[in-house]
Amino acid sequence: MTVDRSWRSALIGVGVSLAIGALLAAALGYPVADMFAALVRSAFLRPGKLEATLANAVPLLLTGLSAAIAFAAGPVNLGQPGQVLIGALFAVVVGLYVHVPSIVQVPLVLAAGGVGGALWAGIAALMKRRFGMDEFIVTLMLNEIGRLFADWCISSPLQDPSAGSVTTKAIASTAFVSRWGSVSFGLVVAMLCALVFRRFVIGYEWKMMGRAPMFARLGGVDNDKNTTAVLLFTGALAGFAGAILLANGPHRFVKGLGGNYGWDGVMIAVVAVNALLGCVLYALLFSALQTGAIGMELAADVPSEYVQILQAIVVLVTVAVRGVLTSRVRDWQARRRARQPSH
Amino acid sequence: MGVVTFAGVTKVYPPDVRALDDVSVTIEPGEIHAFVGENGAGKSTLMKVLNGEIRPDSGALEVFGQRTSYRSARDAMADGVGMVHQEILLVDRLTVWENVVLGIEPVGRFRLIDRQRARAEVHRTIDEAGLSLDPDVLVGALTVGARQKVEIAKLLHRNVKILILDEPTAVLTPHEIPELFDELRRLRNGGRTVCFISHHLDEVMVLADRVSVLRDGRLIATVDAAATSVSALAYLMVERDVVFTSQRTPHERGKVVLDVRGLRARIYGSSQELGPVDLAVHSGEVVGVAGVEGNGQHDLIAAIVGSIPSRADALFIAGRDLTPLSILDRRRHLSHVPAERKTEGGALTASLVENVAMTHHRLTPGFSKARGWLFERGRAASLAVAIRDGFNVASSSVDAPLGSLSGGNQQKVVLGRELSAQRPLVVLDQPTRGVDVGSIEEIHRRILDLRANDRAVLVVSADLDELLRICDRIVVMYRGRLVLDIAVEDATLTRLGTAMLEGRDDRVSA
Repeated sequence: MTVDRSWRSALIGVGVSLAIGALLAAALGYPVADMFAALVRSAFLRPGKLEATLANAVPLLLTGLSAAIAFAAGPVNLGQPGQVLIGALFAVVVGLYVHVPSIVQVPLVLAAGGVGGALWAGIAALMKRRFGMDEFIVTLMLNEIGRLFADWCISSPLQDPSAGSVTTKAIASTAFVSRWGSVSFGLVVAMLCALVFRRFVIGYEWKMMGRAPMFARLGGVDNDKNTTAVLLFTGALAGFAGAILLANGPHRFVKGLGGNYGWDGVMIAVVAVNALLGCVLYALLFSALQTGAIGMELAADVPSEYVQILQAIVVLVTVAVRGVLTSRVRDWQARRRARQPSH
Repeated sequence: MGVVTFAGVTKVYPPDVRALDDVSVTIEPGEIHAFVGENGAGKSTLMKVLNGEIRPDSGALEVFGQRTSYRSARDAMADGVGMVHQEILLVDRLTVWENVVLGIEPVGRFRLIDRQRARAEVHRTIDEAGLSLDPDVLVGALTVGARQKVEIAKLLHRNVKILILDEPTAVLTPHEIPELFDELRRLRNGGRTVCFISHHLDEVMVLADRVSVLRDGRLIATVDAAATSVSALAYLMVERDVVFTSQRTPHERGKVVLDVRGLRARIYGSSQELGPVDLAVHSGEVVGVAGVEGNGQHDLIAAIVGSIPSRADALFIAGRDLTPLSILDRRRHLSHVPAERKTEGGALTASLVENVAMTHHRLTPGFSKARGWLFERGRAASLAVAIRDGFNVASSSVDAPLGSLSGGNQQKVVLGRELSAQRPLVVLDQPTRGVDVGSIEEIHRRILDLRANDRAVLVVSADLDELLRICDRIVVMYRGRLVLDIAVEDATLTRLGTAMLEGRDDRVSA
């Protein structure tokens, strides 16, 4: 599979998805042209919107990388939703109760998010090592436990008594992360991930473990240790997403803070076939759709849920197009080559 | 008038691998036609075209004078074409006759299976074909050879007139092969046509009426078996002379390198125990382990390399106790070529560079820096180039995935990786399984080089000819124990076969 062709199938996939989305909207009687114009305007063109789109892409990128790296290395980490919430919970505690200068506190808050996510994924790693339990099931079930635990924390010990809703107090202003700060953090983490896979011995081992686990084991790679390491690492990535959501977003742990970022990350990993650059680009696409949705709702009266449908179409169509295109191109090339004389 | 005619059949796997290149050949009715060639020569692809599993990109296939356009093996079956694959897929918990009728059960009232009729029909099929097979035993209790017969019976029961067999003897013990050949001849004499793929040219000479030789996807020649010879066929296959005789030169063995005493472990997928095994391999010595699949040979290797738990009174390499060591630490003392090339020997989707870096990345200086944290890809790339050039690996780029190479070339990459670490003991599990003739020759030469350089070599192989060609000593495993340990000069096929099948030493016939 060449880079060239995977680009082509990605572009065709997104194009076909948007066309299906347009047909769907037209069938429902919405003004398609206005709708997409509003989407583009409020995702990119309006003042500050480009920054918003970029900043919103960061948590998507982090959860996307979390899922993609786990899948590429073998362990099936489907616990991003829970790890995001526990990460945000750790971050909010540091943001609320630690008072140091911003230059120290921002890294502390982000690191706390990473630790929280890693710990939550670490439970699954521990269960796997101790009892041989499948991480696929454990990470999935921990999502629900994490959500209920976070809800309890923000409605009881951490709740802001002065607020009318379920939320914590605002974190210290020294813990706030700006949009550009958030974008730079996302880029640094993505580059770090690339570095781990390209330059580090451990990244080589993770990749080989994902491609052929028995080969890695017989070659002397400690797959048990690496599985634990991958779960902790990818848990930390999802935890970072939680910390960024908090520190760049509402600055409070409000109920529903994690949104759908965890599952969106899994979808991004799937459409990007676990490729790093693909995660970046699909995170941007998903973010643009989500940011543009609000403007679209205002301008063309299209419910913002429409964007969720569009996102699902992108995932299904891109994956399908890749499959069909790959086999069709192969058949076509084969027939063409067969007609040419050899030598 | 042929029963099968391939006319200019071409199959291309993109980007430009010509698996079949303008192949035209006619198969006569009632003949046994062998297809030979190195791995990747296109014989399996050609047979799969006939069996409807692969659609050619150009050219035509005629069966019984009719131009075909098979879309699946089911279409081919309807035309009377069927194939016995290497992997045999049967239901262990059903009897032979139940397996044979599976999918085409005769039904009686209320669409219930008419068991009596089904059984009687299968009985008749088996009798008519003269297969020695009891229709009422459970398939789970059968040997691999008997399972193969069940597959043949399935095809016959579906009225298949053209039988294709993919390396039918690869899974058989030496004793079972003549029986299979007799049965195939009976089928031919009964008017059926048999096509088979083989790597064993001596078998081809014994069984086939005509032989087609493929090389690089092209048909090189179709010859009468009576008018050719093993060496002539081998020459056609690789276009150079292949040395089949042993190249072993006298060589004094040295000190004990591998010292195993009282080794015990569980045999995988079996209730049987491995051991206690006592085995010594000396420097400058090649020791072969023979045995019917599943008798513990593979588990012996696994216990030595440390991939399964084991107990031993002694497990030493060159005086070093292996028992407390991890797989990685054991690899400081031994090289290991595993049996399953595609899942254990390498990662097919990873590049050659990544494949040759394995184990070196932790143990060989230069493959990592910064206290073992940073991976030195450049060092791995130069090793990959060295292996490609030194082992004559046909690959355009060391960044190509291992899976894009032929089986023989893949195995040479694996062997190159293992031999580039200078270890006192080299352990090889089925080193030439599924490997073409040319690569086999190269691998054997490398093994004998190791011997000449005073290394100790332990080889497990299902190919007795291979063991007889390269080993100094052969041991036979039977139900987890070594039942025979003889110098190769005293070994004969009969003596080894008796030990493999019955666990005893048949010295008289030696």
